[in-house]
Amino acid sequence: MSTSPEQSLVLSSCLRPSAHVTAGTVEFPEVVSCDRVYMRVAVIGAGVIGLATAQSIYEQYHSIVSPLTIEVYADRFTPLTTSDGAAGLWQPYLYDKGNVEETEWNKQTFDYMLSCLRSPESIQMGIFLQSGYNLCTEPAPDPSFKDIVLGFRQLTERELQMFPGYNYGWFNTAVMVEGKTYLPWLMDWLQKRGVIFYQRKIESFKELAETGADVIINCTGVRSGELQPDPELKPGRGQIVKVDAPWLKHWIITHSLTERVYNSPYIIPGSRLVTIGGIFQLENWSEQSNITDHKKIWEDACQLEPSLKHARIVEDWAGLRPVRSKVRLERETIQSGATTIEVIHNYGHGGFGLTIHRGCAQEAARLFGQIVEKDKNPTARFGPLSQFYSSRCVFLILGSRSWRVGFPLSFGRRRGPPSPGPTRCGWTPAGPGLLSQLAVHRRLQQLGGNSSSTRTEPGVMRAPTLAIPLLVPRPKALVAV
Amino acid sequence: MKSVRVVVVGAGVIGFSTAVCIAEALPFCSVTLLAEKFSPDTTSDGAAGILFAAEFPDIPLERQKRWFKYSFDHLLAIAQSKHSPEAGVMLSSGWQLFRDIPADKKPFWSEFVIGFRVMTDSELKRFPDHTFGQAFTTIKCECSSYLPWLEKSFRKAGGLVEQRKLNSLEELINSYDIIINCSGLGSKTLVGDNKVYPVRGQVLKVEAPWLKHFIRDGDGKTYIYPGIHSVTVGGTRQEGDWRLQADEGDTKGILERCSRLEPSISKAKVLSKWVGLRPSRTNPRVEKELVRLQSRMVPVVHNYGHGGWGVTLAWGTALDALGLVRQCLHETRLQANL
Repeated sequence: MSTSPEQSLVLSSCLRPSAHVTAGTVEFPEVVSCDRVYMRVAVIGAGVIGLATAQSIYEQYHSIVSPLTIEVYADRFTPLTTSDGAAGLWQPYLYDKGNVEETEWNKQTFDYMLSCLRSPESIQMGIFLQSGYNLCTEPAPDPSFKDIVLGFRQLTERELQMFPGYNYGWFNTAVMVEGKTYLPWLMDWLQKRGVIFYQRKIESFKELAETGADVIINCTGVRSGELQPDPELKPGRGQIVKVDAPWLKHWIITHSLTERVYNSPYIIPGSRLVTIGGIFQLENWSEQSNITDHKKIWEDACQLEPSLKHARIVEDWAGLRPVRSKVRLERETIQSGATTIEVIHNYGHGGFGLTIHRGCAQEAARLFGQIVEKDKNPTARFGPLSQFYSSRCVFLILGSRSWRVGFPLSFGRRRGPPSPGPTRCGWTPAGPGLLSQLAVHRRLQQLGGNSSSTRTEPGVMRAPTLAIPLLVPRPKALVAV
Repeated sequence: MKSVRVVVVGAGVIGFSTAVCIAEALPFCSVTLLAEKFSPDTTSDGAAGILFAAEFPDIPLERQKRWFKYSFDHLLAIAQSKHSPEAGVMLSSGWQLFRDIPADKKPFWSEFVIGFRVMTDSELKRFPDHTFGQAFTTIKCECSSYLPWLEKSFRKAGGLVEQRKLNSLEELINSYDIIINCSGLGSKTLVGDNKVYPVRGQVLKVEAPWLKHFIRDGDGKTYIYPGIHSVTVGGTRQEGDWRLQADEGDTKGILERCSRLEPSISKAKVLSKWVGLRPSRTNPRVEKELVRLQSRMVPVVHNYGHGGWGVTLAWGTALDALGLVRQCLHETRLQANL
């Protein structure tokens, strides 16, 4: 142990709220401490994928990474996202074409939502059960979701008689999750846990990295191509009509061999209104409803369900499914000059975003965990971020008249111009071999204004804790606040 | 040929169904429906109207099967048509649950509902208090809409409607040739049938539009029936109980038991409470008899005592009653020819 007088700290004084401590060139009127790694995560996109990923990361890592700052950036929030327009029926495409990973994520989502049903809070989440019919014009192999849903069976003769023109199909019970209710619930859940929302269109990953984000989660759906070109990502335009027909209690989805999925009529009752659709136009970027599609949807639906003739039409809506050959759910480390940006992509869920959201969010959190593991090694921690920190060596001294213990620390300070968003200074322990780890983290007030009305107040200051397994401090030496 | 004057007593689902059957099938009859209470004040109005049968001990099974099947098929055709919302008739899927495995796993009506099967283990997981269950699709027929719809059909077929309280069948003999008695619990006094007794049922209507399935406990005392504008939750089966006012204890019990089956019920707003007296009898009385009224022998066709299965059996028993009316007419003609 050695001390360097001009760089030493007296811990006891720095723990008093109003005391001033000098270490090097930084002053700390307040001190907040935590253990081990801290991290700032920026999620881009506030549809179901973005919000669910933020949730999974929080759930799995808020006690491991401390403090864990999660921010969500989006230009559109509920009820204006693609997720809000979807009817909300959990149902993947009929066949997964060997994509067993996606089937597994779909299953995880189904099981998760089923477990939510045990609580009355499921209403606030917009989750409920509904049964219904999948209709085909000729015999077809059983769908990949047959063992995931409840009560899956073939349709009986009498049931098929109810749907002229269709002579094969299945009946099962599935879960519904309505975006217009689920997304506000998720946002509320996240806000209560300190997640901050920013209404802002992000133009590049670099933009966020420069403000200090350690990890970026890209959940930008159909417009992911604007952040990083992706020729596999295309819009699958859909249009729906919402009607008032409360006597309908089953969903009816038709499948055609010639048409692609969703281009065949479907009727999906929701908690208040019934969603009628059957449009899938690849590479059509129009978000406006049009009369041609409306007529087609309406006529097809009335033929399928004659009672709709008496239904009151409430509204039309069009949205762009983020279609891709398969979901892009992977890490990418992007080099931008001297900067290295950690990105987790989670987009391209086509027409099954709600169906797959939880499984993908959990997987994205797992990928995030890989980054956390990597950064738990403090020297490695500085590696990719060293351009933001200038390291100094500081020793933290605990002592009384009769003894002194020094803990070598590194001191880092964020470089770069002040920008909207939190800035901070921090210390992290140097050397992976240290038995005690003391991380002192300070969060300053956000600089600059921000147009978002969803911004919450900065996080709560936390009481410092010290983990010093070997040392038994004398009473005067250690003042815990 | 002189028009035969038929009067149907009772404006519940049995009365109107029978009246429509007769008016549509026998155009040479003039049919009048006469009752003290009309929708929405009949027993039928409060019933959830889920088609579901019980087995009566003394009626041949074949006849009971016919009753159920004809009713179901008739209503299924309406449910599948554009008249569904106006008539208040819709398809309803769901589950019937049993705490203990029942003796009869496949009741006689299972072949007449749609897609009847035993519940899977994963479906039963949602109901930890129950060990066995049946899943199927049946019909829900809401009488608050169905009765006015039947009345429309009745009038279209030339039927006449009169509101009047009847104290005795004798009041009818000067105006009518055949009497059809569909007076439900009223038969106790109107025709002196002591075998009719009330089984009190209390239900609540709650606002829970996210519920899409019916859930029923096999004991018939706890059930959740989502309807067009509200969800009917219940219930009670109190034999010999004539109270028509809602009972607080019953309300609490219903909400408790239903919330156990379906947790989200605890968050549903209670819209209204209702009590009905099921016109119960060991077996429904669907038969004809000649009744001495003053000096005449008058043919009376009885169609009452359906208990909690009125909506379920209405059309089937109405068709039976029509057959009995035809028999009466035939016998009357034979008499006239003598």
